[in-house]
Amino acid sequence: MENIKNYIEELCSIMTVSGFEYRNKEKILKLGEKIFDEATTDKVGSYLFVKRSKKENAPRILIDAHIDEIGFVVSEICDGGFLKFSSVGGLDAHVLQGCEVTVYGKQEIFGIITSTPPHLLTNETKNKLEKPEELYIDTGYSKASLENIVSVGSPVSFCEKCISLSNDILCGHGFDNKVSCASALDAISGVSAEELAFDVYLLFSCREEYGGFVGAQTGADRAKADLALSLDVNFARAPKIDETLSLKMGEGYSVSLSAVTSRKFTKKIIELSKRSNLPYQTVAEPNNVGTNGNVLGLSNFGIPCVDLGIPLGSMHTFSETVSLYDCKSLSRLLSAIIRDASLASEVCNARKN
Amino acid sequence: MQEKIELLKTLSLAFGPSGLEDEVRSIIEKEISPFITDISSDALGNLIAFLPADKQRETAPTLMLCAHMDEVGLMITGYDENGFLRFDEIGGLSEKIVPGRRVTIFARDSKKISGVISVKPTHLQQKDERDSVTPLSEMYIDVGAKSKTEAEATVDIGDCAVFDSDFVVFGENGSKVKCKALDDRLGCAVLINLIKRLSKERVLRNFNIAFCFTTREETGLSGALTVAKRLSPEYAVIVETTAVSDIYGTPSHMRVAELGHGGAISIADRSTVYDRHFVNFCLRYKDELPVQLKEYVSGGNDASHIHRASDGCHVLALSAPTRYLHSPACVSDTRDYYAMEELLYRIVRDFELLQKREV
Repeated sequence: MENIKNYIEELCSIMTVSGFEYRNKEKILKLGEKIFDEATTDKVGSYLFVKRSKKENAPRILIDAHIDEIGFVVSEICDGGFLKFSSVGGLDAHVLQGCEVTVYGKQEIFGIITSTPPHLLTNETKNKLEKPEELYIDTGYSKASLENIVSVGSPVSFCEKCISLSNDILCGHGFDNKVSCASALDAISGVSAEELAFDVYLLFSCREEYGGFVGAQTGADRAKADLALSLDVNFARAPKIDETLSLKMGEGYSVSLSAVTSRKFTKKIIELSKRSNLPYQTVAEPNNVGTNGNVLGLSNFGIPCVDLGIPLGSMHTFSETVSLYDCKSLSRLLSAIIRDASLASEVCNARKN
Repeated sequence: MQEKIELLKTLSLAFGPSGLEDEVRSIIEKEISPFITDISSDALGNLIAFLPADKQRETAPTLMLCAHMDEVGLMITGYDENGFLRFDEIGGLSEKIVPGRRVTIFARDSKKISGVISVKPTHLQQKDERDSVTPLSEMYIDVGAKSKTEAEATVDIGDCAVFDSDFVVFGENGSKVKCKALDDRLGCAVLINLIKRLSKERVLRNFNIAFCFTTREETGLSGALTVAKRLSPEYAVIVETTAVSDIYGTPSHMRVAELGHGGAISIADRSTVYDRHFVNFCLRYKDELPVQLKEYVSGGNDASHIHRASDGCHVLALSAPTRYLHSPACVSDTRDYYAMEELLYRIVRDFELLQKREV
């Protein structure tokens, strides 16, 4: 689990605000260096890594894990070194005030999102939740100096540190969806080309948080795979959350049962989980899996798609929580899938039909 | 300068919610004991470092310089079925800066446990939840426990927690600092720096100075009251931080004071009207060092208890303007931190003039 933790921390240290995934291209491509045969980017900002099997006519499996994170962009530079900002992705107004952020300009600048202290709140303002447009980023610079460093459109991400809780639970920002990216890297790095039953196409898609599935659609069309796995995060159980909409943390990855994914291959993966003694939980998401899984099956002329997830606490805040045990369990599943010859042969049959 | 910033960092990161100031007191004692021999603490945990007058000791009045050691925090009040913790505030917190925060809980056997205040994802919130402030009673701390039994084995009801927030120097020329508990570890640091300075740059005095590091200010029932009764000071300066809103967009009449313009001197707040003569005395130094007036009647501090102790006392409140007070991310300006020490040094040096009350 140490390996996955290292991958998570490394990925979380790289800024990938939705739409700005291209900015740290070298660092991201480098992650695949010793593992894959090929690593490329595309016109919209996704990353595609390829590791080929030694077997002839091996089918292609597409593993998609979006690499972008929620964040902000600078919309105005104001007097006193304050920045107005717009949200990128679904941010929660309950968890913005007093947050620590990094503004990415010509250099990285530390900032705090403003907040009115309790001493200065009136009865009126005490219970009113300010919208993101009413807040600012406090940089401690003068406007003149700041204008030389950042510009309108500069990306901003959370920068609160990663901490460990008990039972191998980690807390940090950007875990949606870097914990999935980390699990995929951990799995594939542990399987040799000789063991692979599939040619593995790992897609770190861009712009999932932005909406519209641009990264997933274009990346999947490029990969031309025969089977797709979508990896994303799911809601972990917590106080006041409906049990039917959430999963237990520390009890394994989730497998989604849905009208938009392949029931046949979803069942095969559940069977594989049982055979391999891997902990899994099922979740019913009839119309919409809420992830790239909605569109991966529609790539090229249509392929079977399975939607897998990792339970995540406090999603879309700077303090998301995840169980390393769940991440490792997903990694073990992925490792089993890409080595599974009978699954590969089923995929070939499906391809012919 | 670097040493003064390191001191501020050490003090701010220390664990010390109201009622549990021990760690902070130890640090202060260690810092000042090479410079003052008369150090005592009382039943409420207040620390008093006493510098007696050099001359006329029997009739010497006392100047009390005061800063509080405690910070706002949380107290564990119960558990939920899944192993999350219920809590309430120690001192005053705004619900708007609590969700998602990392905390450090001081648990049994002096173990420090990490936790995070869990947030219901925005995707699952109803419309009315999305637009309204979540009350503290609906927030929970997650320590990673799998069950209520496990939570009960780790943390007790009544255990206290503080925000877990790093000390960061930032902004142009590193003029800003961010940390939890700048209220009022910054005040404590100013007093410690003054003690060190007075031992190097001696001022012959016909008055005593009592440096008082007090407890329980945030809960309002403060340790300062008993210290003031014991010392019966003639003059007192409360060295504090004050909540300001010098943020872009705040109208000028609501900004209170400006970061980087020096310590803010109060005319009055919700519980005290300050000694006008003392205020004017300090403003005389404005050509030598940055100093400003606090332009809003708000808040309150230990002056409330001190100025009415025994037969009364002339009080002044000198506060570092601080943004986002009572949050994990308090922001103050280092120039104000240094300027407050400069002003206090001059008050000590020119105290006999102050006593004449001629200005």
